[in-house]
Amino acid sequence: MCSPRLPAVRRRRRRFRLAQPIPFPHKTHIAKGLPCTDYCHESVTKGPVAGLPSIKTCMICHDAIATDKPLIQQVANLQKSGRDLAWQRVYGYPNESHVRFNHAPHIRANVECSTCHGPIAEQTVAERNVNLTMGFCVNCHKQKNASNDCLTCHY
Amino acid sequence: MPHRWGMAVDLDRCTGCEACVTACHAENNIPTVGPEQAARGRAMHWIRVERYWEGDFPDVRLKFRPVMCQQCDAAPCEPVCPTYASHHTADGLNAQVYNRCIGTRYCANACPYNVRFFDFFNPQWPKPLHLQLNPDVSVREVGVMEKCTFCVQRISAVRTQAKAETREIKDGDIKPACAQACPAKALVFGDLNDPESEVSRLSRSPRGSKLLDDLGTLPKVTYLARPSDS
Repeated sequence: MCSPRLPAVRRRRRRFRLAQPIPFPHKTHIAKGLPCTDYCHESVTKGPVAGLPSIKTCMICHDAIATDKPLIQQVANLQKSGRDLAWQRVYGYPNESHVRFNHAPHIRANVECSTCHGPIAEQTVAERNVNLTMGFCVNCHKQKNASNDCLTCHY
Repeated sequence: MPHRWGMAVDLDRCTGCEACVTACHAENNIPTVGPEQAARGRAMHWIRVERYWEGDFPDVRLKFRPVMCQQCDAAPCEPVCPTYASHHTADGLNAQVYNRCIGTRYCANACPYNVRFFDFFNPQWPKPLHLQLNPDVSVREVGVMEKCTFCVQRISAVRTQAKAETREIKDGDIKPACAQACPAKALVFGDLNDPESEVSRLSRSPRGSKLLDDLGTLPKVTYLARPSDS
């Protein structure tokens, strides 16, 4: 399910950004019980940016797990050659929106990852499914009695 | 009680070194416009150091006065904005929301301190300076007004951090780039609602005065005169 009303700029950017270095299966990892906020996106609880994992993070587990799979071997070879995975960011704001988003307070307010990032737990390669318009943010801020001043996000 | 951010500027300490101006440019992604446009009055400095020469040569004295947005309580820039881009926050900050700004420039005309700047161009930085942009601050595009925000990104970061640690914001936690860079500590930032904060203490000083006080704009920046002048 893609949102049909993304502005043109956003849509172009999205297609471009979906070309990930490897088809990382989010579904498989979540199903095995690995939470989003452990290892891969661990700075999400600490600061503004969730972070994208480096190849070292992958190899913490995949030094030992599923080493016979071709995709894992591909990753292992990449690390041996001293290179890293060039992840493309899927969610984000263009500069013109002047939005400064901080993940950490949202995590502390118990906002689920899926609220803003959609059913990534059921996806293979991450797709942009939720249209993060200002109305989307403001509705939630109103429900949770969070600040609705423009300066909370726009500066 | 909500905070009420303010600043005190000790003119006796200011040496006019302009470190505040440089720090402000770096922190807030303020572009430079080049000599031709600067000559047309399009240069942007959210904080500037004004120079005043007194006396006749050779008995000349030079005085400095750093001037930034005075974050007025009765700000003349706010009621003239047709889109509420310029508005007052609960913390008493005079906010400028770039998304809302349609560039009428009424606010800059209304401001008696000349601290609002219009983006006549899309900003450009010669390589590799484009890599030094602060990711916590928007890069303003052509057609919007901009001005000193009291480094609202730093206020926001400290507020978030304090909330995470379930504590109150302490005096001195927040330092705008200008105050941080000032080698003479002439600029002091803090909460005017906290009577114990250093900025409150300095603002009550008998040396203190506001810029263009008789206009009734109720600025939140207090200038402490040199003892020899007061």
